[in-house]
Amino acid sequence: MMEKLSGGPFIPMPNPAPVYIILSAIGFVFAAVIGLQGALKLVLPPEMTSWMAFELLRPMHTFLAMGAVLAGLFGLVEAILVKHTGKQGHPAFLILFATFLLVGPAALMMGQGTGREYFPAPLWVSAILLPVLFSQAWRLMSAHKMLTERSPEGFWLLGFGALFILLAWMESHLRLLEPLLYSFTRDLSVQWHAIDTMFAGMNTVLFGTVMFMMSARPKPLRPWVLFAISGFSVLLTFGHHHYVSAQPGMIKTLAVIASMVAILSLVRHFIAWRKAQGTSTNPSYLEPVLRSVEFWVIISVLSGVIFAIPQINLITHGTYLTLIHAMGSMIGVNFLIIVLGALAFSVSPETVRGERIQLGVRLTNWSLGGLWLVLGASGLVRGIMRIEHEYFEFQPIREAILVGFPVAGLVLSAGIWILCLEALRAQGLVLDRHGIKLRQSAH
Amino acid sequence: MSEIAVLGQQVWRENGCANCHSVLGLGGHAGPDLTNVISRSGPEYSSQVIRYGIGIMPAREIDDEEMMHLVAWLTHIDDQAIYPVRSFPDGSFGAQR
Repeated sequence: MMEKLSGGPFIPMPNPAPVYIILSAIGFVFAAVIGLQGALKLVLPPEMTSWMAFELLRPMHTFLAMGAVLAGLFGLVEAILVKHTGKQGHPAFLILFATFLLVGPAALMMGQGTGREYFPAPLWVSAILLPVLFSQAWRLMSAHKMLTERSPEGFWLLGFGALFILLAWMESHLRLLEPLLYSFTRDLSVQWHAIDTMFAGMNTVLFGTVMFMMSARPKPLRPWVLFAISGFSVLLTFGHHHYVSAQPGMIKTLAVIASMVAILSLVRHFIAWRKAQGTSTNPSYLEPVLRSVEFWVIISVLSGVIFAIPQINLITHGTYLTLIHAMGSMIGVNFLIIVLGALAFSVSPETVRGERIQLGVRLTNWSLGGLWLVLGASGLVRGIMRIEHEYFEFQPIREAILVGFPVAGLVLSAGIWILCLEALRAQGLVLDRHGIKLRQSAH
Repeated sequence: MSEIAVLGQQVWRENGCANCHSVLGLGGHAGPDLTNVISRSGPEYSSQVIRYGIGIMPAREIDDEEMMHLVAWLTHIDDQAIYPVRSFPDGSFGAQR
């Protein structure tokens, strides 16, 4: 991942790509603000936070974070498609996506949420997104020849990722069918398969975009057996999210095997990270972002493998350890790759401030480290003490530890805001005393 | 799952209970896991906590019928599994009853 960036120092990002990136930055900023409120709600006395409803904050935070990642990857995919095919996406899909991002929180505020963990928006909101997902997947498949010439591996990652996202989005609505409605265990299996596939899809697309930001020489396709192994891993790890439920033993066994296969990925990322030390990028302000991405990929995969070991899972499952694993992946990997892409596919590189990026990355890294400590300690207390003790016996210890949660959350928010601002500047959004303007790209 | 428990699952979702509470460790972690809340605390006490709140948990406006459905669903979940567990049963993963 840390090869020299090339293809000319900058590729002008066409419309609607910058608009997607702007939507992504706005989504991340709002998600951070709401997440911070949620963290405060957990530690402040109830009478001070009675105006905040946690049952509203959490689904809004989840919806906006996932929406922001989707917006970011759509923007990067658009930029790649326009660069290599010369064809822009139809603005109708951009309008549909913006509508989805806007009406989703509104529907949640009106009490129309599904009450589910990762797919909180109601069916009619999901339906708005579906044509956008179909369109992205279709456009990628239609451009397979040109994209494969540029980067065979990059195209496979983009194509598979787009399909995974589309399938996961549809799978998440199987909950409406009777066999799932009347079986809690089946519902859990399908729900977590959809969530796992969704996150895998988003990661796969984002890794694919990085392939197109890298060196000009085409990245050859790896042996098909590696794709088969990763497909096996991606599609079957879901069972480790609820080893404790009554899902069939075969699913659990396959989940352990599939989760342990991720060790191969971990070794590969570790080697890439070692190689990356000391290499330079053009422009140089991308280096801290790239290094951070490599680091957090390793932490994410490593923690995922460890938490999937059944006996360790007994402690980590159902605690904040799994939350920080997910946050580390969402911010350290997904968010930073989107920032990287926004900077690499910049419309106005001269406005990007390297020292601000350095600061934003540092704040993000330190806060994620702090969150690992705070949420990890809280998770361990719960995971270990819940066996022998009642919740109200260990809750005071957790509350004392969680005081650090909003503090780290505030630093993380600052890092996200700074990086989003630089991403917006890179995309030609000018904010000055004369107002807000969007600088147009060369296309 | 009985029809009344399905209705209770609907009450659980409509009230966003999973944002703070988990079942089988899945859901929110701000509050306690509720997999075995019925066998641990009983339906009466659980209903009172839901209705009047406790600690950081606010009181919920749930009528008697909805409460009956919700308790039926929690009872169904309680019958399905024991959670948390110290170890998996011999020979397999899981915490089925």
